[in-house]
Amino acid sequence: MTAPVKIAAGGVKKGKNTGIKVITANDLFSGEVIYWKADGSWTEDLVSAVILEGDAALEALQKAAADESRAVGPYLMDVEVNHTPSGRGRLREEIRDAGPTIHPQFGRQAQRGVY
Amino acid sequence: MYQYDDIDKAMVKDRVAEFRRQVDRRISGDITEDEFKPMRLMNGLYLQLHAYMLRVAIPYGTLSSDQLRVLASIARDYDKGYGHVSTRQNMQFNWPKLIDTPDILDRLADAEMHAIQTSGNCIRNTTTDPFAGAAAGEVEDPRITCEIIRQWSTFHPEFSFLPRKFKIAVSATEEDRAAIAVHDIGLQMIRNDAGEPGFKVLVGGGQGRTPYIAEEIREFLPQAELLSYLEAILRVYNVDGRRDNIYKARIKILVNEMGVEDFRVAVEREFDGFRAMGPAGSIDLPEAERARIAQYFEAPAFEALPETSDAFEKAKASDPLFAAWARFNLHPHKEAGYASATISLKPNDEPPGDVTADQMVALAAIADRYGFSDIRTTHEQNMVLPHLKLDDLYAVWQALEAAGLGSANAGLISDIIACPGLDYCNLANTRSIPVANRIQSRFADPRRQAEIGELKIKISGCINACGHHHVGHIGILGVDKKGEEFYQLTLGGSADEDAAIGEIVGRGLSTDDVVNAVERVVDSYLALRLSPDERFIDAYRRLGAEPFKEALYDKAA
Repeated sequence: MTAPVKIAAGGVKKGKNTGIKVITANDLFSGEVIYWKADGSWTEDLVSAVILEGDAALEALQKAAADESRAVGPYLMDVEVNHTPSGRGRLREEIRDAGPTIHPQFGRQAQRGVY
Repeated sequence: MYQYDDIDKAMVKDRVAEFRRQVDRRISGDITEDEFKPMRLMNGLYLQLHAYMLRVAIPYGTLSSDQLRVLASIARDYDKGYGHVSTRQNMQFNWPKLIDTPDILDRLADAEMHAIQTSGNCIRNTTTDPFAGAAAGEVEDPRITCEIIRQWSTFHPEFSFLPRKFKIAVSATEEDRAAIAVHDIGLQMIRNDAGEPGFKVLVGGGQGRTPYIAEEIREFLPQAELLSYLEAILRVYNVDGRRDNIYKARIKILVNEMGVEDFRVAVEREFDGFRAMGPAGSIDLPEAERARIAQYFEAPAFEALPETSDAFEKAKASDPLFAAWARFNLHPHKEAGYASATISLKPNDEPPGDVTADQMVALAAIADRYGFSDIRTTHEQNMVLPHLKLDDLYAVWQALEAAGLGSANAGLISDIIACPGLDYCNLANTRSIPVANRIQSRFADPRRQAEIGELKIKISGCINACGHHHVGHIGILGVDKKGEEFYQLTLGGSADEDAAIGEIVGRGLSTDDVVNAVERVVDSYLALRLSPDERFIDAYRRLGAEPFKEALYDKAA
C-alpha cells in the first residue's frame, strides 16, 4: 500500500509507508513514550517493540489507534533493523526515547546512565 | 497586586472541578482523545515529546512570594523540581502526569492562580513591562490596564473561538520592554496634549513564519474607551479573519490583506456602534470599577531615601563581582534610593528560563525580606525584584548568589531567549537550548561579555518563532535539512521601541559552525563599532548587513 500515512507527528511531515516501522505513542496517564509490541500491548522499551512493514504496519497502527485506554496519538516511526530510530525523524525519536539532551538526569537516559 | 473576589474564586474552583470530571471520563473511556484534547488544552495541558506540559498563567508576569512558593511546591511534588519561564511571562512544567493535573490546578486555585487561556484560539495572557510600577516615566502602572483586559477577556463568550490565538501587550513608558510591536495588539500608554491618559494602539504585529511589525491604528484612544475599542478590533478579526489556513489566520495577515486603512475603517465602524450606545450601553468600565481595580496596584510604602547609598557604593568598590551585577542587572527606580533588579535565569550551561524549586523558594524569601513580596517574570525568560532599597542590594545579591541566581549578565550576549526546541517540543525541527548553552560557553569570560555590551540573541527551533529570533539583534532559526539540524542567522532585529524584523543573512549553518558564525559576527562588530558606547544594534543600523555577511561567509567557506 502506498497511500500516505502518518509516519511521524510534529516537526516531521507526512511521508510514505516505505521501509520498516515501529508504532510509537505517549502513555495516557504519564505521557511517557511507549511502543507497540507483537502481542498488542505497549512497552517503554524500544528494543521490545515489534518491527512492521507495509500493510502489516498499517493494520497494526489501526489496532493501536483503537486502544485509547493506554495510548495517545500513535504513529509509525522509521527504524533500523536493530530498532534504532532512522530517517528524517531520527534525532526527534532518539530524544523521545532517551529524554531531553539538556537534562541528562531526566528521562530514560538517566536510568541507562549514558545518553 | 490584584486579589480574587468571591466570583473569581468560585469560577476558578468550579473550572478545576469540571476538569477533574473530564479527566475521569477520559480515563474511564467515556470520551475519546479527540474529544478530550480541546478541553485539556483549554486548561493549559499540552502533550509534548516525553510528557505532558502544563502552562500556568502568570497574569502580566506578576507573582506574590506566596504564589512563587506554590509554584515551587508543584515543581517539587508533581514535576522534576523545576519550572520554566516562558516568553509570555508564564511558567511551564514539563513533566506532570495527567492524573495529577486536577490536583495541581486545585493547588493553583487556592493561590489565586490557574492555567486558563494559556492555550487555544483565545486571548492569551496579556504581557507587560516587568518593571511596571517601578519604572520612571510611566503614565500609570500598566498592570491596571492588563488586569482590566484580563477580566474582560477571560471566558469572553464571543472570543472563545477566534481564528487563531491572540496576544496583547501593554507598555506605559516611552521605552518598550514588552515588545508591543510584535503583538496582535500593542498598547502604549501616552497622554494627549490636554494631559489625559490614553493609548496609542498598534495592531497586526507578530512573529511566526510571517513576521510583521504592528501598524498604528489609532494615535490616541481615551483610556475610558479601551474595552469598546479592543472589542471592535476583535469583532472585525473574528468576522473577517481567515479560517481556511492555520498559517494565515492571525490578525497580522488580515491587516496586511485588507490594508491598515481599510482595517481601521472597519474597526471604527464597530467602535461607532459602541459609542452610539452611550456609557450605559457600552462595555467600557465605569470609572468607579476602574478605580477599584487600580487600587490593587497602588505603590508599596516606599521610604523617603537619599538618591545614593553609601553602603551600595562601598560594596561595589570592594566586591567586583557585585559591581558587575549592579552594572548589568539593575534598572533605575522611580523612587530615590531604590532600584529594580533583573534575576538572570541564564547561568552558563543551564536551559534559559529554567528555575528550580529551591531557587523559587529562595527568591520568595528574598522578596519577603527585601522587596515587598513582589516578584515578576519577564518575556526575556528572567525574573525581576522590582522594588529594592539600594542599601539592601549587597545583601540581596549575596542571597541570590547563594541560590545560584546571581548571574551578572542581563542584556548581555549570554542572556539568550531560547524556545524549548526539540528537547521538548512536538513542533520543533531542531534543538535551541544546546545552541544557547554553546554560545554561553564560547562567551563565558565576563570581561569579554562586558566588552561586547548589550547584544540580544534569540533562538527558535522552528519557524513558529517561539524563541523570538525575528527580533533578536542576532536571531538564530533552526531548520531541518533531511533530518540534520541547520541554523539560519538573522541580523538587526529588535523588540524595543525601535522594533525591527531581522534580515536573513545567507545560507543555513551546520550545528558545528553556528557558534563560530556568531563569534565572527561579534568580532566584526567589535572591529567596526565607533566606540564602546555604540551597541551592536546601533552599529548594524549604521552599517547594514553587508560587512557582517562578508565576515560571516568569507571565513565560513
